[in-house]
Amino acid sequence: MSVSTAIAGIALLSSIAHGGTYDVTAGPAKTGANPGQTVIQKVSNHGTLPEDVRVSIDEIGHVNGACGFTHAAPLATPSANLIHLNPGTEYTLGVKVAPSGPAGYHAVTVAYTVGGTGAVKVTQGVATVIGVTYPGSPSGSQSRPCVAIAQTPKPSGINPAVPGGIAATVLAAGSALAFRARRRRRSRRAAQSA
Amino acid sequence: MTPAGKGKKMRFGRTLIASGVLLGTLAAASPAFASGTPVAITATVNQTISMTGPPATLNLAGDPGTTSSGNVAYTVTTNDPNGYNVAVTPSAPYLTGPGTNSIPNSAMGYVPNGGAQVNFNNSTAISVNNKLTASAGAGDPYTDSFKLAIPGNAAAGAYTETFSYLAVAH
Repeated sequence: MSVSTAIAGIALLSSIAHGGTYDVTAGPAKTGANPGQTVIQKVSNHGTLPEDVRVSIDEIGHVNGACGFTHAAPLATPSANLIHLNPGTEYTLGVKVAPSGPAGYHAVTVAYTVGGTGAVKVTQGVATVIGVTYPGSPSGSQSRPCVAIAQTPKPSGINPAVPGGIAATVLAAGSALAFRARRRRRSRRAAQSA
Repeated sequence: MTPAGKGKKMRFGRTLIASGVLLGTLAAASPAFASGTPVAITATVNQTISMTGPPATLNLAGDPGTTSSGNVAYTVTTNDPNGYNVAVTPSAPYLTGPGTNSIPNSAMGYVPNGGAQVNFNNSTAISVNNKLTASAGAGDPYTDSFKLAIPGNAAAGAYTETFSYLAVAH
């Protein structure tokens, strides 16, 4: 083996030892179900590291006036709570939707997360949504169901969401000033010729 | 008959047999092409969502009264035409420290992908990245930052909390 090949081999081994990516892929990303139905979901690992995927149920609903995770009593039960996935493998599980629940539409989420390390720990992953409607008349905020997480309002000051509006205002003000200047020049010329 | 004439006759016979076999094969095969039954192929593309990246490790350390930063990089991929949302949810309203010490989540700022900083409020989830169309084919890469403003009177020690990232289809 040549020296350069050996060095390349060591470099590759080193990159494998220190690099690597996790991956959590799940689907169907969004689906509907009837009360009591079992939804089949597939979770896979397209990354390069083995991982333990935690499965948890939550719901998107009204939280402090906006749509967020409610942490309410789960309206579904997964067939597995912790799944070990080696790179390139997948797992099929069933998520049984509760046969009864509060009246109205519910966006039940099935979260698939992998854990990080450190004091301030970060877990990352995806959540699929199972929409289910329970019979009866929804009450209160449930009559306006949430279908997605609401965008967090940007801090006060210049709102980057409306740069077009700001630009339009500046343009309009500029046009008005230019029009006034043209009118002044015209009336001056008229006065000089008279 | 001379040997040469016999050979010619044999070659002619072989050619005739070969042509017959070929014609027979074509005749047998041609009806399949002629009456060709259409083959219906149904392809289903599953709707998926994925998050991928290097495992996140946050090392937020610093003196009281300073701000400590740490990045989290990830890529979101989905073929959902309605797009997706990435939300970060704290596990508690504060970081738990040594003894009875804690740092409220309001001291923890978050800068999504070079945007404006927002601060956590108790354990309420914040929506950090939002897209209303499917991701790029190779996914949408993000690098977000945590910024912990360490209070001037914070006791020394390790403060722990878990922040959960979730990409959810719209």
